[in-house]
Amino acid sequence: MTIRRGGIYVLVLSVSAVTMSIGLIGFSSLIAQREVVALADDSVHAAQLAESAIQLAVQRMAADGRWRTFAGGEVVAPTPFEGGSISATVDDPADDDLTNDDTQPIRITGRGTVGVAERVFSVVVEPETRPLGVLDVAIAVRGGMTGVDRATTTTLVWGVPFRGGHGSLLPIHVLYSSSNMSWIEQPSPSIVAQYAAMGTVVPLSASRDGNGNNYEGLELSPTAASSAELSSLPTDPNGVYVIDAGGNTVRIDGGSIEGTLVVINAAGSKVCIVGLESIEPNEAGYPVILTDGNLELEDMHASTVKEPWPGPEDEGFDDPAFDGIRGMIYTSGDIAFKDNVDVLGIVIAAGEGVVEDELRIKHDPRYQDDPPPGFFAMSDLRLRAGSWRSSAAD
Amino acid sequence: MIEVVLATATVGVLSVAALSVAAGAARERSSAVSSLVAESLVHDMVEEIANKPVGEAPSAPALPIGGLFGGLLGTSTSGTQTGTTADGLTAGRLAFSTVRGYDGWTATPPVENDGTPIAGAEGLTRAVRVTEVSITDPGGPEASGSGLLRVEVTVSRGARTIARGTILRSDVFDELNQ
Repeated sequence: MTIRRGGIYVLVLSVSAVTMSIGLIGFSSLIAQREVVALADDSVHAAQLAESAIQLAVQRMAADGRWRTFAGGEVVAPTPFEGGSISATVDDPADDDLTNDDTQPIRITGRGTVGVAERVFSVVVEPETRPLGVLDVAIAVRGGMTGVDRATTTTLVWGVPFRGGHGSLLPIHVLYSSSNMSWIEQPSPSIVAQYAAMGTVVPLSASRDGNGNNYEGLELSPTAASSAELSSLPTDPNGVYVIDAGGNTVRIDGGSIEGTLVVINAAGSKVCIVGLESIEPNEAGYPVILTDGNLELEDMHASTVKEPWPGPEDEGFDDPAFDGIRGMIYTSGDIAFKDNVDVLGIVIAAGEGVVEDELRIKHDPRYQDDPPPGFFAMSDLRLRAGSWRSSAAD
Repeated sequence: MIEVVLATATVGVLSVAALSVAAGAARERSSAVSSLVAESLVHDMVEEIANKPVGEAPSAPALPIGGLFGGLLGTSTSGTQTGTTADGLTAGRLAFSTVRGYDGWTATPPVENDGTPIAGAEGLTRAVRVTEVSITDPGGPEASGSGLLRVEVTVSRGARTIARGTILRSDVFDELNQ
């Protein structure tokens, strides 16, 4: 056998080249592995920075009450931090508008970047609410009440204290007596406009006198709306109907309401509601009457309520057939009770009150348990349990 | 004959190179393992601290354990652990109830929160520094009264820092989380 000269040299070089290639591949693999480990480290650090961004965001939000107005919700602009960068934004996941409703949840999103690694975390914060203090009582009249005199009128309040305003001590007959006459929280007067925005406008009545608009036999419910003068009215699915008084008196005489009647632009004018056969809230438990005018209620005696004076008889309020005013009434003006009014609910007036004849009120605690919109106050913000999210970077 | 000489020389050079690469790889592996251990130690401590409430700022200067009580309480059988706040005196880190309580904590070698030495961490030191910082400059110097804490965790071998992690903790966040 003949071995060609130089053959062993070629063989050794070939084996060496292969060995060297394998070695280089192995070394490259080691370097790549190290880069992967480094990237994983960067990702962990980026996650720590993203969480830190949220921590910094809430601290800044607590220090600067204008955070809802920050451009783009940017609470933490991109800031170098610990070899990377942090930033945080806040947004309103419900309607993308942070300024329109303080009671909506907000989402805080934190970003952390280290090298090419970026991590994003978000958490939802929501305000806790509680019923306004005014829902604790049967009737609250901020400007105090007159005419509550046993000699001339009978005013009975059952279940919870009566609250007048400004320290006015009244000779009112209160069962479960009042312990504190100090003022309590009322809703904002803007609540009238808030409910008006939810409702369907009732056209001006064709029946007018020198004082304003008269509605006779007004029938309002979520499925039907009519009056003696306006036989066909648009219906509102929530039973929220709005009358624009235009600065004039509005008089509603007779009929029934299942829902909410809102009378706006009545400041300084009268809103007279007389002799309704029944008035009760819709299923959502909204108030039954809201107005910015001076409200007069007349002749809405419940046939189920016995003449209680002087005894503590209030059973008639619990009768399913109770046909007085069932629900909550609010006016940002004055309130006057004329000629036999029975209320199972809550009466709130920001102005003064007067009782001209018999008034009987029994507190309805259901409004406390489940306050309608505008009748609760925000307390503290709280993290929503389970709302932490890790999302991919954009 | 010349081919044999050249082939032998080539094999020799390549062998040296291969051994060098192998040694480098071994060093790299050792470094990577050490780095992974260190990163893990940092991560664990950061997670532990992140789950604690910020706590109230101390009303009086903290008492260094290593000074007055160092001989009695600052040394474990496996190494040295020191802290600077009173709530760490009783049972190592288990007694740290707040983030602030971790300030100044060091352990050589690193230990679990009940004081058990961590396997594979021999020769390492894990240290924590907590600084109250400004909300406008969280990476900056101390700014007491802000309620925002910067927590820095380092793992080092001798004087060389191998891994570090930093987080921010907010007392407002704790209130939101109640």
